[in-house]
Amino acid sequence: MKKNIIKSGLILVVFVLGITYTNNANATEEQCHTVQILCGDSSVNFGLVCGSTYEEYMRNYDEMVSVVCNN
Amino acid sequence: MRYIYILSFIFSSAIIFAQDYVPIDTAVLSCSYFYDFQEDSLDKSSMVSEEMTLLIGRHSSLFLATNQLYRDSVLMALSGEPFNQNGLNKIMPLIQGTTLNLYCVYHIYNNYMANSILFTNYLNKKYLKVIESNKANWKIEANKDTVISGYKCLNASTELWGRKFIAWFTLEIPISYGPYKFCGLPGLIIQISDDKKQHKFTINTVKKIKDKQQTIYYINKDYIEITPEEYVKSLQYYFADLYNRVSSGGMVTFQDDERKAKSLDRIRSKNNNIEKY
Repeated sequence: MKKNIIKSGLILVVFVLGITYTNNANATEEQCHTVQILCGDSSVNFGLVCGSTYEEYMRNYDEMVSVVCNN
Repeated sequence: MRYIYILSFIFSSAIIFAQDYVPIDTAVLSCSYFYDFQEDSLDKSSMVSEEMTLLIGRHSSLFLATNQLYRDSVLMALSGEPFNQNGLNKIMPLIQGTTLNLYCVYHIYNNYMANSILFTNYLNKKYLKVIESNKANWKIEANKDTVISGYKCLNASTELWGRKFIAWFTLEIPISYGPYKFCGLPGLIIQISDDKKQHKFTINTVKKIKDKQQTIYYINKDYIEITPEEYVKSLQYYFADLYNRVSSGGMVTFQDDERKAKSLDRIRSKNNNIEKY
């Protein structure tokens, strides 16, 4: 774990800023959040992470961090 | 190490499995590998690394990213938690810092289905599965040996997916499993790499699991079965779609244009899947 972080030179902090919107009112409603992503190079970027299951949300979270922080 | 403790706690305390997480075996051995791979086939400096775990059970194995194993344990422990803001508030702090390389988000089961490798992934908003035979045509070089990570290893080679792979396996651990989809040798694969050294798995640790129970679980989803070739195309489509979403600006607001261009270049360079076909 540490090796990966050190190797990529990135330390990530993601803050959930708040619910942007929620679709549908059933059990599988989509949750969307604007997140602020701080990469290891101190850049600050914003992205929208959505998902209607935990797996989907985590995947989109990974995607966002990968895209923003180039890892 | 922190994750191992948390993982152990969660596994030992998570008695109830969500319907999605079906126990299929009990792990007796946990092997950690470093997966070093070149994302861009034309750029040797594009090497990245991900720590992976191979859980070996009495009759099957599961191979996945170590961070994915941790995340699955979190989801198992919070089974029954409906997907909503409260659930996310509980889960997201627990997975901070456990992001995965987008190439390494799969689960690979060996022998869960008899004599088969079952590969699963969530890609392009679909749960996909690929079923392949776990028979490989290895050529063992009896007179080639070396020591890797303290294990005396023998050499074997095979050709798969458009690449030639060279493996080092040890008879000291007489188990026919290995990282990724590699298996079928008379001992555990300690290291394996393609001949161009673009994809390399190297053992980090091997631990017997005695005291605490670690379950090998199958994630029960409504998978769509596709062929290995179709999966590679799906992966290519995924990265092309990601490029378009980032390029259009709807997904991320970058701090500056230079960062956006760099990010797009990086997505475009992800062209070197282990299976070439």
